[in-house]
Amino acid sequence: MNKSQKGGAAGLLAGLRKLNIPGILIGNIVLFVLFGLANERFLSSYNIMMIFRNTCTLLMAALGFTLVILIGKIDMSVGSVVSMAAVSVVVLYNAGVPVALALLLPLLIGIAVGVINGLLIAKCNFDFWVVTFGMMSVFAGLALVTTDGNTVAIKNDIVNWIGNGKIAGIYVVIWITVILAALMVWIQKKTKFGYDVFALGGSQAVASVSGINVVKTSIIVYALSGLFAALAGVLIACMTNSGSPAVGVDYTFNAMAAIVIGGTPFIGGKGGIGGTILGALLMKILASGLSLVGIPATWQKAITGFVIVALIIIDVVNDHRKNIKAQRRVYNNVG
Amino acid sequence: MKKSKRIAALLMAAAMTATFAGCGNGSDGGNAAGDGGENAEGGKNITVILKNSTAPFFISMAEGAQAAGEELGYNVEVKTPVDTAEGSGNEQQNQLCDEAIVNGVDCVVLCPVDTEAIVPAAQRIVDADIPVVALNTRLGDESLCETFVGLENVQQGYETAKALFEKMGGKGTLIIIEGSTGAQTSLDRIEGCKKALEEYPDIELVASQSANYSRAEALNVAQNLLQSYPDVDAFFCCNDEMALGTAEAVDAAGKTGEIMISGQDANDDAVSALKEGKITLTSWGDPYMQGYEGVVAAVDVLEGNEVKEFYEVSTKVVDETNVDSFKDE
Repeated sequence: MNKSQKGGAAGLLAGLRKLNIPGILIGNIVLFVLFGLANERFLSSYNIMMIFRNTCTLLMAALGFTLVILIGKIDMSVGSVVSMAAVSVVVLYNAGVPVALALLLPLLIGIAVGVINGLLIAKCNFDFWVVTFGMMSVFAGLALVTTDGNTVAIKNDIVNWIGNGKIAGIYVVIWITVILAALMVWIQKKTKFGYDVFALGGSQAVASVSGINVVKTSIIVYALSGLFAALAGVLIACMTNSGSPAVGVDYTFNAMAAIVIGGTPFIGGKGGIGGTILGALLMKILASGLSLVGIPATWQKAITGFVIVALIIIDVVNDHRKNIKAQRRVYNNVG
Repeated sequence: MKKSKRIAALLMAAAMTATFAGCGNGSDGGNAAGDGGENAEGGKNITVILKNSTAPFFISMAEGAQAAGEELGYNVEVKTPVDTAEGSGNEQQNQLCDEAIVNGVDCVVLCPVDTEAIVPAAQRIVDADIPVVALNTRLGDESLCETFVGLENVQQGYETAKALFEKMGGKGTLIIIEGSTGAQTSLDRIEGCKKALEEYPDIELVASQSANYSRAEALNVAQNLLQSYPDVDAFFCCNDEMALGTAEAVDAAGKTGEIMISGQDANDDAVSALKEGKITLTSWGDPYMQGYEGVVAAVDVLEGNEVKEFYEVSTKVVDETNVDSFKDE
């Protein structure tokens, strides 16, 4: 590398730093460009649409889950609720329930699971791991029982339209996800509930003393987590025209990964839904890109993990640098 | 400040080079495929989507498909999901289907994890005017595929079970170890086994449990079952991996030789276990030939040859009498 190039690169880096772009966004852009260079088909409109389409269900499950992690807790039942909702849509419809109800009732199941989780954790002070882990088993099991372990098909035009139809050339599922994600960003940034969630994650004791209803907020957070998990399940049922009791097994961990990559740490109190959106996108860009440039399936997992770790390190180092800078400013002012 | 800055820059550089390196390797593969595509006026591109890349059964199937591609002068690319779990397996197969459309391949040979959930993705391939050949497992909507290549799992289950019941002398108690709950192959093989059971009224089915096609899980499941049914005479397992797990459980209980175990697929481990007398019999669905025939069928479709309705790959029961020779016959 010659001198001028080096200077140019450093200058670019410094410029980027001033913009203060989160590492995750840089990661997304870098990967996007790299995959595009490696295989121009990656940038075809069809593939880009498919990346967004594939992100929908994961992001949906992660939207409510992000709030749970923001208050410093975990919801292990997300994946099971996804499966349960997917299976319920199909079983209800095939049992003769009108299609609108078959699509809405599973959401109520999700909310109910969330409320029970919230009550047991916030009101009764049970450990959140144990409670949600229990719920995970209960609903993973119930989903299996409901269809006797089989994948069941559903044939309905409305269901198929939601899952595979398009409005203005863009899949309906993408519209639904974009609207709901925007709504959640608004709730997080502009409502009192949004502030309460961050306060609760910072310190439950302080939040309580400052007059925040901890129990109520926690219950709403878990209810939203259940609702969005159920929404993800309903969308999966629509997209695949079927309900499989095992469909959600990986969603808990994948959603967790998307959230943490997006910059919301497990201790809660910082990060948020914006990061989760980018985190979910990053996972799907990686999945699509690695496969499209021809990396064997056996290698993809390791590379995905490596990229994720690298991104987290960049974020942590950046944070550290910012802290030092801020401290220095204080010292300078004092001095 | 300088130090942390340097570290940040270093890490970033490291991350980028690593990603570049990763993509560099990959782009070779991508280019190879792309070149194939450009040279493909004569030779065409076939994508084979399998269930996973870890089970010996599918590794063998992939080898068969690639061998057929080389022999017939076609560019065959085998793709598999990264995760083998059933739910995400389907999601990733969906993604691989879309990728085949993006790459503009000429034919997709599809071996679905989930027969129903793959239907919309198969529909998208058909909508893109790419013919689909179903391999090993049928699609939920058979009008979407040109033809089906494989063996009848019901028939394989039936023949394996019948051979096992003959060895049991037509009487005794039986436990079924099921594959992944809901997987079509497992359902079909169980159906075949139950069909055979009807012909042997003196054989009693005492339990039937899933071990997810996994050796480790089968070990646990069989251990538990042996606690509840210590006098069981035979295990019918829906694949070899589970038969091997069951064999370990039976071994631990000190009952090797007393309890009969049947597997299916005849993979290498199972064949050596059969030679040691740890399992009683297995059956060979010839995954290599399935992969091979899958590509043959795709070539028939692409070249406008006469396409058979069903490319059958035959099943063969393997026991101690033909364990050394079954692959040559």
